[in-house]
Amino acid sequence: MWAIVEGAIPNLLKGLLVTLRMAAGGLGIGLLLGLLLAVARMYGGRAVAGLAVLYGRIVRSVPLVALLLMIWLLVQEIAPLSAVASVIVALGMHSAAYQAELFRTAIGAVSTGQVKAGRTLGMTNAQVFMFIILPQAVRNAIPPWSNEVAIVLKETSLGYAVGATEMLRQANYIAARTHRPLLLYTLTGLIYLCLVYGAVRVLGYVEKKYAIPTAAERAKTRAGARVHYQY
Amino acid sequence: MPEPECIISIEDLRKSFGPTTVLRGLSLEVSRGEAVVIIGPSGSGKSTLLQCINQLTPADSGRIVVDGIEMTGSGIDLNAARQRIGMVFQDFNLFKHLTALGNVTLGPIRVRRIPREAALERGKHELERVGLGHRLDHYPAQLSGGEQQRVAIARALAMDPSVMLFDEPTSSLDPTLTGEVLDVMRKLAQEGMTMIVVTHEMGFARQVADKVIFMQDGVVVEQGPPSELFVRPRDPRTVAFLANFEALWGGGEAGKRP
Repeated sequence: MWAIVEGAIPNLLKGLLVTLRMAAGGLGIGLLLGLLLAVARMYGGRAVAGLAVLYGRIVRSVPLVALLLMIWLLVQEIAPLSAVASVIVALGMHSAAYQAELFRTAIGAVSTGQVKAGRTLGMTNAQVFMFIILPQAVRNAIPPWSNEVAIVLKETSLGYAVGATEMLRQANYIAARTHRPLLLYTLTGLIYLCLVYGAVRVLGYVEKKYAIPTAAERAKTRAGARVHYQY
Repeated sequence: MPEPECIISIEDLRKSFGPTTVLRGLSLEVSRGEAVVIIGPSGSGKSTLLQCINQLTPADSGRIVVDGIEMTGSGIDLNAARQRIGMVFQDFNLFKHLTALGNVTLGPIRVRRIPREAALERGKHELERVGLGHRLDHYPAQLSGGEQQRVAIARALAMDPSVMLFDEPTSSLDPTLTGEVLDVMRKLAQEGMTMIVVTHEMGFARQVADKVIFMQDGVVVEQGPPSELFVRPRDPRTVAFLANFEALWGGGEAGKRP
């Protein structure tokens, strides 16, 4: 058994790299597009906000595999992209719809009173967003975003459907060769587990590090303490 | 003595929210250096009036001039005009992700584009002025309500305002904390800051106000120095309102208590 595991590792790691690339790409596109959708929905006019809502409704109602296959087939018609690139696009579009929701919540949690206070200082709406809303919204968004990271990491395995040689597909090849599918899928599952656990831990650390100090922790006022008033 | 210079002038201000009319042709003048206290029952339009002065709430009609700038004029740079109108809210509205000093310096650095070092110096000075020199690096969540409100006052002062608007600044505070905020405001009035204060603190109105304005149903019912308005109110609505206070707080509170 150990021989099979040892033999499988190099190819699984090769697949892991593809998995990571797809997750990073999908999350990145999802982040940018999701933020854009959230802003469109919250600050856009009726038409713009409506389009953002419509996008979310449609994308969230279609199974990811269907979206993935549609994009893959569509892409073949226009400009042949690799399977990996198609997966990244599909994951990005899909994740954007969910990330838009979480950003909307995170932005909405910043009190309107602070917006008023910012406007009273003579800030433009853009300045209020940049210096008051965004810094707090980003902090609010970390826990749900960490959840989204875990989901997208696992969703990359659907790349299997369009032939992207990500980790699960590599496992499939090896399973076919060695006739030990259960072993291989268990091994792959363990790698996903480590991946997701690691990502969640890292984001948990980031969340803690940038958390706004609460009443419980008294600020450091001694000379030379870390400067807290940078934004 | 020269005629005091009029710094805020409001003429025939009207504002409705949907079917609800809040301000019905309100007119008001404030002189430079004057401390004006507005009293009146809830829903009389006091807060709306303050928010119209800096056009946080756009007026339906009427004319508002603050320090020579017509706030209701078309094509004015509201953001520039608002820099000179400090505002303090009932709920403090501090920026939660910034320290006291960060709150006080955000406007000067980002809006007035003052160099960071100078802004930090000025910010420290303003916080010391409100008695918070030892709280520079504290976040809002680490401050008491009274301290938060004093940071909010310092934040407004750091913008070099020509007038300060206070919208029920002590209504969320318990009596001890109310005192420390009122002390800061009293000092500010003594230093000659032009201020409009909406409050239910009759003691403060009596001691600090140059002029008390009684508002009801979206208009100014009666105005005058506290020694007049509290002692010899003329309009029956003012009499009724003050009598209510006496009923609550004991005989002659508004008029007699120091």
